[in-house]
Amino acid sequence: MLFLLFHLGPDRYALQASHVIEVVPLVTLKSLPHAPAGVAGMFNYRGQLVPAVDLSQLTLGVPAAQCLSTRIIVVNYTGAGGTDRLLGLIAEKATETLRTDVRNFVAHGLKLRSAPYLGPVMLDPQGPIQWLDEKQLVSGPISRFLSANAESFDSSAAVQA
Amino acid sequence: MPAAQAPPTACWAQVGVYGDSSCPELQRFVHCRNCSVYSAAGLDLLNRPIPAGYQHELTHECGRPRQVRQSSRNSAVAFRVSAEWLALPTPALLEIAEYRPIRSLPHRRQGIFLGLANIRGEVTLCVSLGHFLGLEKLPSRESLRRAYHRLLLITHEGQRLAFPVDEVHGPVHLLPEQLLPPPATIARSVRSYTQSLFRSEQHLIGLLAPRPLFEALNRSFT
Repeated sequence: MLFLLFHLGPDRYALQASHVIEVVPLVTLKSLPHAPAGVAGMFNYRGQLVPAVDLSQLTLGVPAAQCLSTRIIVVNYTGAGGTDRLLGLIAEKATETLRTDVRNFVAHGLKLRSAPYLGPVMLDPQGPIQWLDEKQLVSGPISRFLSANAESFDSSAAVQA
Repeated sequence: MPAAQAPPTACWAQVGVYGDSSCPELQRFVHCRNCSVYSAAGLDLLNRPIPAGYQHELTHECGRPRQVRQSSRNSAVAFRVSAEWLALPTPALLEIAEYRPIRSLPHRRQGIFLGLANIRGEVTLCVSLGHFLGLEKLPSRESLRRAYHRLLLITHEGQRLAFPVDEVHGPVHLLPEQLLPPPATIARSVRSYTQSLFRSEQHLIGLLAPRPLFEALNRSFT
């Protein structure tokens, strides 16, 4: 299975590559007032307004570095009402992929209630890589915020960069 | 554990292939580009701030529809038979051979079937594409450039055939948008075997389809 790798702080994480729609550069975001922590703003993705969640801000409380290696991973998530929506995940050092057997990811027994999206871990010569399930990422306050503002994301009005 | 840190000095320029090649890892990797230290250093180049103005450009680009790269470029080999410029898809072409004698066989009607030729030790059936497609022969004065005569050896599903041509233009790379449907004005005989037309250096070239061509040629032998 192919995975897209990225960093949260010093640690490495993996996202299932088949779930990735596209990886785009860290574009300028339009801010979203009253957005919960972690929602960094929204951006114009191919003519559609897509919200962006800063994974580093969400998990570590520190915004992602503004480097060329920090990119936005565009994925699907199932919003309220069961509709599929686009979501951008701002991830640091999202520059490599890894092809490996899923069985190399081993459950570590620590299921964090606060982070249900963190999955099993693989031990790689360069260090552990943790599987991130983006489907579980959108929950609680972020989920509520995104559904409440769903109509504005549904419009195809282009954002003035 | 953090990902491999770039070495403080560019080892590829010192002990690597760009230096004195004394690095022991070269025994395993042969060239620095195969070494993870080198590729990690390359990736590390991306860990720098976004240049001013670049982010603006990237934001603009992200808002535009996705540019799907056309990776399927067709390739064909163009050639001339009499006055007609034609082409065949490159996978159908086995060889462009020097013109050589074709031994006609008795009791075979002249016309399409020209005879047999020896191409790389293999006895090969030769046909006249000009005759098959009903192309007008040029007056002998115009076909003076005999030095360009070639025998094109083509294949389709294991079958081999050769036919003489007056000139070979060479391989042409085609983008899908270059291909035009064959016009109604083209001779019916040619149109049946033409999948599309394209323009190359002032010539309008008819791209032939190997399957119907071989099928029709087979039928004409029996």
